[in-house]
Parts: sequence; structure tokens; C-alpha cells
Amino acid sequence: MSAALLEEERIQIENAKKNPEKFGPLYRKYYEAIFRYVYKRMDDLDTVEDVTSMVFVKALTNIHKFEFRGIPFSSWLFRIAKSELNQAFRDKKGERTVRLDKVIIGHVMDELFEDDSEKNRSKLLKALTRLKCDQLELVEMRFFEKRSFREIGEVLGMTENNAKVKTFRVINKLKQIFNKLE
Amino acid sequence: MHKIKIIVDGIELSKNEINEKQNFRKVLKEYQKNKPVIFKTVLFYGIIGLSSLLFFVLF
Repeated sequence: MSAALLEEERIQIENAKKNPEKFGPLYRKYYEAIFRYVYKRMDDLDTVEDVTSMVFVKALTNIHKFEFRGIPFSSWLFRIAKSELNQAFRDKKGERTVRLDKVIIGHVMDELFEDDSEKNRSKLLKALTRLKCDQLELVEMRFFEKRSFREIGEVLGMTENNAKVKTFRVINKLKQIFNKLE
Repeated sequence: MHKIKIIVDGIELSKNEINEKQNFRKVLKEYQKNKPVIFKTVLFYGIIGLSSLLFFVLF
């Protein structure tokens, strides 16, 4: 984001802290990104809408705590989205879902495994379902959404280096599960 | 452990379809319901407590 856009966003945040009605530009700017983040992880469309809406309610309620010197506003919103999703799963409002297309599966196969056959693609999908939710989150963010380690760290509340190390471990785990599958 | 559902090549929503779902009024309404009330804040009790203490000390 350019310095001018960052400054514009800083002003929008400061305005929203003083007057909730001024939160509108930030809501419109990030609605699609947050909706897609939730939609990729949840099966029911109505619940996706509710969770997305709740993310912005929580953001508005806590915007006075947001400091511009810390993580970017977008990462702060994704962090709230992750927390709201987990709450929705705990309340059994939706099923943990992974939405992928064949192109992404092809890229992951090329990057992590040698033989991109139909059989191995099925094995990869099966292996993904055997990961824990926090492990799956790292794979989704890094390989399906192509986020940087820095952004992953900001969203998950860890350092960039820690995000890198944890992702590397999850990939090893995924490969182990993959190799054990018939 | 959560059961994980995988959807391959599912319904892809367009930018317009997503943005049509925006409802900022609903967000504001929910915010009004959830916003912290002054008498429930630490600051409120701090001020009341301090004022009471000063009142007893001075009078």
C-alpha cells in the first residue's frame, strides 16, 4: 500500500474512532476480502454473511484499541475474522470447509509432491482433512491464498520467522500423512 | 478434532455478488446493541471510587 493510501486509511480509522458512522469507507473497502476469507472456510452461505457482519461489528466495537503503529488494519480484521470463525465452529453454526479449485491443487502438487497424478491429487485432499485446524490454516494461507510469511504472522499473532518455521513443519507433517495413505 | 469438508471447484462468487450483500446499517445497529455502557466501565467505577474516597477524607 502506498504512503498516500496508508495516510488515507489512518485518517479513516481516526474518524471511525470518533464517530461509528465514519466506519463506512473501511467497511466497504474490506468487505469483499473478509467475506472471501470466511467463505473459503465455511460451507453455509447464510452463516458466512452473518460471520462477516460480526467481524465488522467486533472491529467497530474495538477500533479504539487499534493502533496504527502495530499490525496493518487488514491483518487486524483477518485476525478478528479468524476468531469469529472459530467461535462459529464452536457454536456448531457451520462446518469447517476448504474450498479449492483444480488449478490450486495443481500448483500445490507441483510445489510439494513429485507426481501430479489423479490418484495423488485425491491423496492430497484426504491428507488435508487429517490436519489439525491450526495446521490447515497455515497451509491455506501460504499455499492456497499465497500470503507472505509476514502477513501470516500478523494474522496468526506470531513473528514472520515463527510463521515460516511452523509452515515448514506442517508441510513435513502433510507429506508424512500423504506418504502413509494408500 | 473438527471434521473437515473439502469442496473442489465449488460455486465461485463474483465481486458484485459479494458486494451486494453489504449492509452497513445492520453493522451499526449491532454495534449500538453491543457497545460498552459507561456504567460498566472500569473508568466509571474508578472515578466514582475516587470521588467517594475524597468526600470521606475532606468532610
